[in-house]
Amino acid sequence: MFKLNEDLVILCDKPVNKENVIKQISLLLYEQGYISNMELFIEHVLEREKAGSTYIGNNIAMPHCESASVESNSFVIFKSNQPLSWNEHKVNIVALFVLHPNSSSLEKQYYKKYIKALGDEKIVKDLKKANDKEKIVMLFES
Amino acid sequence: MYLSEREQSIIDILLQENAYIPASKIADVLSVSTKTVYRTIDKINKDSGSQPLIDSKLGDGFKLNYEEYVRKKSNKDGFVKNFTPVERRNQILIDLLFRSPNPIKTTDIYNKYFVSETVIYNDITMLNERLENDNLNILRRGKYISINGNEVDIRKVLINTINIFNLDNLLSKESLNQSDTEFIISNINRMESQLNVTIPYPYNINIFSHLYILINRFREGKVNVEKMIDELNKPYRNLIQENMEIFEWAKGIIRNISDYLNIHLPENEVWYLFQYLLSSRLLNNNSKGNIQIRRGIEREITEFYIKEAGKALSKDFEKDIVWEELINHIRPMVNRMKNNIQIKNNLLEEIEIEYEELFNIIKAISKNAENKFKLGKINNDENGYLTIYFAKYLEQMSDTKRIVIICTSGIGTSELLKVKVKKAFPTIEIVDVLSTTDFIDHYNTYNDVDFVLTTVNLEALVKEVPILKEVPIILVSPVFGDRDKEIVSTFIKSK
Repeated sequence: MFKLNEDLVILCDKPVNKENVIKQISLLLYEQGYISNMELFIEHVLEREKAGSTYIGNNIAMPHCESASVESNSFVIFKSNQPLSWNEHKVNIVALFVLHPNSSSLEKQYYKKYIKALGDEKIVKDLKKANDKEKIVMLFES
Repeated sequence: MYLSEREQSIIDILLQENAYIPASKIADVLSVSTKTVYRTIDKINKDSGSQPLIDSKLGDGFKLNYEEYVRKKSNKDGFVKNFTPVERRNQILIDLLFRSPNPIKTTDIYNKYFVSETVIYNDITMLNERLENDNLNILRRGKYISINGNEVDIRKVLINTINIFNLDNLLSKESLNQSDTEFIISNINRMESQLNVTIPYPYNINIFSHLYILINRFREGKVNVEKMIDELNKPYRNLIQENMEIFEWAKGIIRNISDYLNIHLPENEVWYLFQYLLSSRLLNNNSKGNIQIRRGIEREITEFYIKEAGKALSKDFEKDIVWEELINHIRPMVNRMKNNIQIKNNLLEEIEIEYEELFNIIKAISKNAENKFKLGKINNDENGYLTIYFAKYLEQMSDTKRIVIICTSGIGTSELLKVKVKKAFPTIEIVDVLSTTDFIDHYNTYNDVDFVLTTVNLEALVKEVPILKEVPIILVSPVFGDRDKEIVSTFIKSK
């Protein structure tokens, strides 16, 4: 079962753009073995971006991808203190969710809690304030 | 705020576009002059209070302020309106009667109901029909509505009208003034304890209503005191002598109310209250208790009504919701049967017309209940009240929509959307959250949903998969903000 850890949190203080962020996250996922093919993965993420908005309000974007290039379920929190443009919105937090297509329904159920956390007002509030990888992990793992 | 037909039309036009629309275009669609458009929009904004409903930009035209629009339309947090037409008319009548003969501005009194001029006109016509035998008449003069009549008639109609809904929930009703309620109850309680009596139901409610009406008539309206004097006659002086204690209490309560309102109340008020108290069968607390109603029978009866109504209407009533309100009515109804007390339902005629089918069903169920539970005859006044409870519930239930939420993977923004939709539209039932593939593959299971909510554009897919054309698909952003909510709400209302 997936568990968030500090290696999956990126804190950034340099200006970035959307493409950049997705590449950074994908590289991280590749290096840690969560995805097997970076190019294919990025393509799928961008495909989903084209199909519909992933901006969920509160300066948070939630790109996601269920793709054959995925080895195992994961998600990455990218936090930037410089807002970046996400289509017509400005975001500070990008949470990229990665799903393996053959996940069992039990795994999917378990995984949903991370997504739902982004809908929790209190968690979002704390997430926006947090500047510490450990604290961020705690928000999702408690 | 209420809107005229033209005002509503302008808002409808602005609702369709999320951009500034020039006055000329609006004028074209409505076949009026641009001057009329400007004038009407000015009026809408004036009536809408501190925040204008329609924004304007020089050179670009007008745009609807969605946030304000949504705020005005919504009842606190939800988008669901709970007033049945019968309740609305009732409340309007009560408001007017309290203020009689003072006129109220139509916009003020209709503020909380988002209805059109036609509805208002019909309301008043129906109310006047109802009041035909009561020597009262509702008048409209320009922007104001008022009702005129004798104080005796005003009070009579008031007490019949107020006693109607939530007979037992009267004390928890939000529309009742909190301090008035507490004041009255403390006076009644004090009297009960001093005289060592208990005022049984429904007399306690009647006295409460009487005093509540009294307070509000003197506070909000103008009471013509002279016309009430004829009631006091010599023979009744004996009655007072024989029941001195009760008379003194009536005097005391009226004095308290005078102080409370800082208005001098005429003597007849003492007399009216005294009469009420006399006819109230004050139960001496030393005497034996009332006939015990078999405990639990009201539960059985309530269940019976819910089950039978469900059968007759082919609906599965969510027991909990109807239960609470219904049992609070059935309990005193059984009490009335046991004590042979008849209540009058002033709305009966209206109920029989407006909810004909439901009323007949309830009548039939009551007949069966009479036999099954060995109750006395359940008359039509009772049936009328019962009908209202079910009608209210049905009206809320019909808003229930069954939907499916779709995303490419079936997990992702759709999960978040589920939470947000549930919060904004509590009456929407989210049957499932699926991936597009799953939805298409298992279409047979889901083809009875009312609509599909999606965060991804399915236009291309619809072209390739014809069955998708059969169900309405609404595209929203995962933010599910005001604009999205409005889109969904408008869709629901259009069905």
